[in-house]
Amino acid sequence: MAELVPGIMSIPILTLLLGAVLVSPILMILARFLKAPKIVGVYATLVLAYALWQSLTARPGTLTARFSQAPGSIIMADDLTYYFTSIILGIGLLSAVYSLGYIKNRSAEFYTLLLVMVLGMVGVFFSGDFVTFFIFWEIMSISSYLLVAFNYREWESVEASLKYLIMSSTGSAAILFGLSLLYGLSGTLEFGELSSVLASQSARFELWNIAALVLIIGGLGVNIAMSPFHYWLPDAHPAAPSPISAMLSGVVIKTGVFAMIRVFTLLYPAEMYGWSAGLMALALLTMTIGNVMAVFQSDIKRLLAFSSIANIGYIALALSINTPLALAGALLHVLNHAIAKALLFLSAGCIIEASGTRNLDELSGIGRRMPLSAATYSIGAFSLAGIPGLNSFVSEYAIILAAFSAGQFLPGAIMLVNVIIGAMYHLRVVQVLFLKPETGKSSVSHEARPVMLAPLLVLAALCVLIGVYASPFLSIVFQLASVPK
Amino acid sequence: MVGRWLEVNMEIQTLSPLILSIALPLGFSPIVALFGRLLHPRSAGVFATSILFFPMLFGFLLYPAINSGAVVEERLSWIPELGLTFTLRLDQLSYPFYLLITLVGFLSTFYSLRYMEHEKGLGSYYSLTMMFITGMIGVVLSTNLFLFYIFWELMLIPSYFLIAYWGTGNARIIGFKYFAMTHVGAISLLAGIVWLNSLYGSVELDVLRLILEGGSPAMLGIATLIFIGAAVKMALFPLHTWLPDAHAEAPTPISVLLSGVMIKTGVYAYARIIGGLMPAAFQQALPVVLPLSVVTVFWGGMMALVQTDIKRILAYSSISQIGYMVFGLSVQSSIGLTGGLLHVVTHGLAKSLLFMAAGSIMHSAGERDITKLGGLMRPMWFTASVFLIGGLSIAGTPPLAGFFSEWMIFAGGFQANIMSYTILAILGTALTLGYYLKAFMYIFTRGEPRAAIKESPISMAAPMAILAVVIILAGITTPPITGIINMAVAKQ
Amino acid sequence: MALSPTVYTIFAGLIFVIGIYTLATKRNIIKQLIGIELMINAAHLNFVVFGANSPGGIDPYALAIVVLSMAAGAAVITVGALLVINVYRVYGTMDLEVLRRLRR
Repeated sequence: MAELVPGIMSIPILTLLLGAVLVSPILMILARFLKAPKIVGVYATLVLAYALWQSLTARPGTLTARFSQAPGSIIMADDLTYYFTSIILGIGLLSAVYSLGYIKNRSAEFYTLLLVMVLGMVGVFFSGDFVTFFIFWEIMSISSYLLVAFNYREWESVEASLKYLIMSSTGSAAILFGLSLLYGLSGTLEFGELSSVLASQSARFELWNIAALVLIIGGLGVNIAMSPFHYWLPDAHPAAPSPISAMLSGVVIKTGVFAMIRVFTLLYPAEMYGWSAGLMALALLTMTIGNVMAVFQSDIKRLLAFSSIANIGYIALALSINTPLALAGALLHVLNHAIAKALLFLSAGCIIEASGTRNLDELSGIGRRMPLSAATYSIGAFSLAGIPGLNSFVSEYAIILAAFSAGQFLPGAIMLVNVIIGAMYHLRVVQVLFLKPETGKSSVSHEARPVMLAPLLVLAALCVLIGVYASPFLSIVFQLASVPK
Repeated sequence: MVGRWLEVNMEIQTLSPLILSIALPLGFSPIVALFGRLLHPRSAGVFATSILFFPMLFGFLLYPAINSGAVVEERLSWIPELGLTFTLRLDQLSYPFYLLITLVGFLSTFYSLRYMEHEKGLGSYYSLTMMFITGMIGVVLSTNLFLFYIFWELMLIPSYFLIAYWGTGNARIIGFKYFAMTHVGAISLLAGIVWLNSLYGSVELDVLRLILEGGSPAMLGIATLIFIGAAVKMALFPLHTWLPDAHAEAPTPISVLLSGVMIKTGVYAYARIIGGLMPAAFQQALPVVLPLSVVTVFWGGMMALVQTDIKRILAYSSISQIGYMVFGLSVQSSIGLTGGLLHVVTHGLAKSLLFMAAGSIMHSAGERDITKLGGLMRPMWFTASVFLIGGLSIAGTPPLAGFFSEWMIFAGGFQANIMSYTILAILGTALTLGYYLKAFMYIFTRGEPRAAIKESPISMAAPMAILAVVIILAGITTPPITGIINMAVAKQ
Repeated sequence: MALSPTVYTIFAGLIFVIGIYTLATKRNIIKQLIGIELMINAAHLNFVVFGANSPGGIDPYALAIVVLSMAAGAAVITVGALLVINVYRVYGTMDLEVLRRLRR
């Protein structure tokens, strides 16, 4: 809490996105009137690109801003905020570029919703109190429901979106109830004041406080699809259009991870509240269920969705170990999984669009017709399979190393076994794409257009870059992880 | 934040042979794939072969330095956060492996030019071969276990694709089996490495060596994990089941690399990490490893004797010979250790030669079942003679190269006073001689001469000729590599 | 002579549990949405009680939270109703048990 600056205007990214979202409906109507829906797409892409540039060049250090001295909305920006914001805006920008080629109908509406979703996530990262947090959280959730149901005439989208809505808004309601208990205990919902109230010994044994913690973590657990609340994810993520699947699996669930890091490091220190063992058990369950279920999938996007659940398990395991090394591993894995999973969903989108099927048996041999899409898919798959030289290996190594260093040999070994299972099903898909004989649907496919391939190549290059030269990225996450709480 | 995002500080002072021998094949492999797609596929092969010539050349040029006891080391800063540097080092232990990898790598790629010419997707084939060879070079040069593991997996991925795409028979299933078993072994190795890292905060071999001299309580567990990783790679009984399928069904030049070279990286890992870092755990493990090695010798030998597929015979023979190498490394006497390491080189050369000869037979006769072959002595006299040289060398017939290494292994066994195992191992050579003579007889001497079959082209014969000459010369003169191995053994 | 806030909190907790019970047992989608609404309103009740009992008189902060959250909740329920209409159009039923095509 280094500075107290009046006004939200001091955070250019948030102001920019808010303004852009407010303008976008007007632009949407204009685009429809002019019969040029591409305008909104280009507009959204430019906004995201500028916001990304702002985020990457932002001044490091902690900054707190509010409208007035009275209690109200607080904007808080620190290095963790900018780290997550850069990831979200980067993936959002690439998805937006990809969508220029992918989304054919109603693209004006699509980009408006995409901007709203990005605004919701960025707002969550910048919130300095739980009210702001909750409002932005709901903005993000509502736009996600709508984007999953974007093809609202198909049974799959509607069913998936409804299930997603029921699960996720139950989670939000649980968070809200937990917040009401916290407010009753402390009379405030600002992170700064809450942390000093909750750090006292008397709060530690308060029953309502424990109930609030359980409800908030449970609600966030629904959002990040932690077992046993993971059932909605394999339905919802595949049903969305591919760029949205990339956003949902790549970054939306990471918003929940961010919130967990905030809640755990800022409000509920592990030494006092002892949540490590419970979170660790859930994390191990989550990664095992995700990986084992992924083995049995025949739908390529559903397989990727289960793989996301498994990776959330890895991140949650690292959070539960709660050493600087583990936290650094978790943060790096957030970045790595975002890149690799976005790459996988976007490449899968190219392949699915060209062949018209998501069934792995029908996609066999398509790598010969679409060498670039299939090759970038393979890079992403090998990355998540934990093959060294690609990005996820570095973070998975760091997490397992942290587990072993903290004396948690069994969880570390379970994660190793999970990495093996992950390698098996990812390899199976690569094998299907490249080595099996072609089928009727895959043999008539053609390579995707350049505007869709460009984001794939950027993401694949990042996978290799972070894998080979991880040093700058590691120095960032170590710096973030060693910040005194 | 951008300043911190882009903080890249590479410290390349001068480009140097070891880094080049990694960077050249790896950096040019995408270009080779592009050549194959845009130009004629053969141009990709020629280009790949000429790139792979350089690592071999560096190996020869560095011989005087290594022979005089010097160590070549090159260092780049890499990931300081995890305490890692990108350091490559060529010392007396890694030099024989390096030379074997680069020599056989170059010759087998040269051999591919004609052998693979009718296959599809040759650009990708040469590109993957180059990556595969890079992985093997990197394994023997890396000085920290993190880097070691990266190259260890870099060997696996390209070789999986090479087997599964260009292989024969049920290639996809066999490739998957190969990947699955080897990857599980690699994860075991990784678990050992992470355990070491978490205990001592370093994965640098030099640092670990100093720390581990004092002994460590968890050493046996770590050594077991690493040993499992190495044992899967070198196909020690009972973890050998992937090898006969993978080596027999891979395209022949890749069989050469797999059987001649790649399984030796497992031996290298055994010698370098377990033998070099954890001598105490090494001693404790001997009552298990020694019997396993002898069982491996006999299992491989017996299975080779009953096979009828020519490449399967050679594959089982590799399992049997791996047993000898592990035996030599485990007998706890310096002459046995020297013999084991020398056997890596002599077996690597002879097995590469044999696989090339088998490929030449398959190329000319179009048949790989020895019961259906026969009478090839006259039309393929050259292949017949190199097959005989390779087989006799592996069986340990004087004065070929294999004789010296096996003799040293057995001498080591007697020196260490483990009579029963040594005598069993010596009996195993009778099996070796048996199946090679049987194969030779079935393929070449038995039956009517077949005049219609032609000898293989010169570009396939040349690599075989080079290997045969090396084997004979190494047998007649004392192998010049022995001095280097002796120095390596003295350092262990 | 007012009741202690704890009584209200326990009552709100009861409503919250009823909401969860509704979600767990009812097969009709509309009833599911009502269950969510019950849970949200239990939280709102809590905010109102704590805001009214705060030491410095009635706390406007809590009331602002409730108004904002009601707006968000209304948006969620609107989207939910939208989806229910589309589900009815596609499936011809409100029964959640019928929506099982995804889990093959």
